[in-house]
Amino acid sequence: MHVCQLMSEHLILLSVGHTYGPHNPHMEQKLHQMDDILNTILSQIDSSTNCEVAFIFGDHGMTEDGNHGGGTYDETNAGLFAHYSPNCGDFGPSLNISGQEVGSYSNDAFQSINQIDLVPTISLLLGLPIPYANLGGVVPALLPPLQHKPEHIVNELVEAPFTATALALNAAQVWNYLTTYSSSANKLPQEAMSEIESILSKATDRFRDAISGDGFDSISYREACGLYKYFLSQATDLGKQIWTRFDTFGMGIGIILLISSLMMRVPFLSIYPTFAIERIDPRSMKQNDSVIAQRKRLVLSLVTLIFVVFHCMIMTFSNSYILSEQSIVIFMVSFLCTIETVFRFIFSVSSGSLSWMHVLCPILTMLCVRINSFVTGHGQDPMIRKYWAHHTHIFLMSLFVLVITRVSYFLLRTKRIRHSIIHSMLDITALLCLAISWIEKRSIDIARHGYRSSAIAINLCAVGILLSAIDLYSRFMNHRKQSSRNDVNTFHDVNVCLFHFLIFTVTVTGPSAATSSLLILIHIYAFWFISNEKGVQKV
Amino acid sequence: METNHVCHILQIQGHTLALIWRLSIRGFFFTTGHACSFNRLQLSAAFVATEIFYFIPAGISLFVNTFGWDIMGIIFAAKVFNVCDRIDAFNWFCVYQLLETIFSCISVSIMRRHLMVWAIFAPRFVFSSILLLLSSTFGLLDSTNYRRQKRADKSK
Repeated sequence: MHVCQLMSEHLILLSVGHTYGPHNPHMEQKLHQMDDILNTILSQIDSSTNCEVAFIFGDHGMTEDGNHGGGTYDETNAGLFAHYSPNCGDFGPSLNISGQEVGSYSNDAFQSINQIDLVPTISLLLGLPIPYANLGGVVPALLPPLQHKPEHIVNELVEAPFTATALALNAAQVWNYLTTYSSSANKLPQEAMSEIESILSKATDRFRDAISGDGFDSISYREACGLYKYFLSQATDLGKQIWTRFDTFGMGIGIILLISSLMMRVPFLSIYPTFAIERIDPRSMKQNDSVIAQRKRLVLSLVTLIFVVFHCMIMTFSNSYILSEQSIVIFMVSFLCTIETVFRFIFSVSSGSLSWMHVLCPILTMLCVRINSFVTGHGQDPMIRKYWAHHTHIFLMSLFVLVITRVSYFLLRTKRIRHSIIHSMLDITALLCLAISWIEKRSIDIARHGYRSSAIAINLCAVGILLSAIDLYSRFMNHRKQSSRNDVNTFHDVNVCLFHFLIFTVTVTGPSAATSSLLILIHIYAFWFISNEKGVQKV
Repeated sequence: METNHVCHILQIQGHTLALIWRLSIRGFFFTTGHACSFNRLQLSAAFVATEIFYFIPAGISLFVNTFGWDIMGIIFAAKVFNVCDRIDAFNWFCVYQLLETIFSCISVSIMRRHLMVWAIFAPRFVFSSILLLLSSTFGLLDSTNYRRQKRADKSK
């Protein structure tokens, strides 16, 4: 048989399905186009003087909205169309091999075609050995009629020996794989193995009978076919059972542990702030203000509830939502902050006692996240001159602002000068090293790779983090003895540690992180401002 | 009294404050080019200071590159909520992370035979459990610190 292999994949049909779904004029157009392509190919095949075959199939179906990946009937079922050219001869009744002679259980094995069944079928059609690890079973209905028909056999029975041989080869390969796997990798369950072994030996007996008998025993061949196919389907089922195993018990335990830890947290939750409620007598407030405050709380709590239910619960069940989590998260932040700002604005108009900083801070938090989405090129080679955030002016400016921030933070707290100077110097030197390293990395000359200055920056940050950690630890230990409330100093130490860590993160992320780090600093400041709004200024 | 009025209006409730912070640090995670998937890890972070691959330093760099923004966010949240006496907000913050991990654990378990389980659901679960580990570690450190302070204040 002349074999010519041609493979073509029509991905565009998939894209149209994903974009528009199955019930759309675009899909119809595309399908007509596909029809034309197939028409051309099939008529070429038909006019060939050789025996040619075309297999047309999809690897999955789609849901009503054009998606796939789930386990529904629409998604897991796809069409399969095989076309043999007229030169291959007449198929006749060979398609009738269906395992009926053996029993209904064997008949079932012929009823559906799995994708893995195409592997042995196409291998045999190409005249290649069946792949060693194959678990599919040959599909007799897809095998071509024999080219050389022995004359003494009645025409309608001619395909049975051929099909039986193909199935026998297939069964031998699968059995070989299973026994080798069982003896070398994982022991397969003995019961299941002996069960399928008995089916295999029965099939082989029938096949031997059919070959050795004098005269042509069509029934034996057909029975052998049915038994082999049954064996193959049982082997596939065994494979499905053992290889796609999940530790459902472990999963259950994990979920229960997580839920119990949630239960332990719940008693500590409160929807009221831990302070200020008793401090303020609602009667002393103006009626209008108290209404605004109540409404704000109600609206924000409702929105929070919806967002938490969506982001922490429902979203984890949908792959498309997980893929677009970025937009979802940014939308939610913007929405929350905008509501807060609107209420503050209303309040400020009605009572006129709010500073602009109070009104604008929520918007500022939101803007930082939003603007940061325009900063691109994180983790990309600085040499690529595609991202504006990699531009020398921009990252040098950002680093400069970082240095200024650091210095001004240092100037704000000059209580322990010697101690703070060390930390500030570490940070500033690290930032300078970063500037040098990025300028080197950005140059087209490959020899200037900036490894050394990067390494220095990383090490400086590491030293800084270590020093702050020691500071924090000693402060933590001193709490018992001193019993003084030095929250503010701890806060300062944590901030210093965070700044070291920020530079570390920026170093390993690349030039565009300099801009992002500025944004996160503004964001942190705004957030600190919001959290701290409660009358008594501590910091 | 006037300041207290204003604060009564301004004050954002703990659960909303925690959500704003949580979403914004998640926003920073995404807008710095990350995603909950293994093929979006910024592998260049392993080769910032060296040309050769060293397992531990490269691993630390990659980890900091991926979770650095979140770690900063969590530590800052723990500290800010502590200093501003808003420990209720930090409780909510931890509960949100816990809820997310529980539900992604359930979703992975239910969809263990879904085509996209290894590409989307499982990585998402791994990322959210790492974030849970981080937030509970820092939360634990912070709450011990907070309780000690409270106790010290009382004894004083």
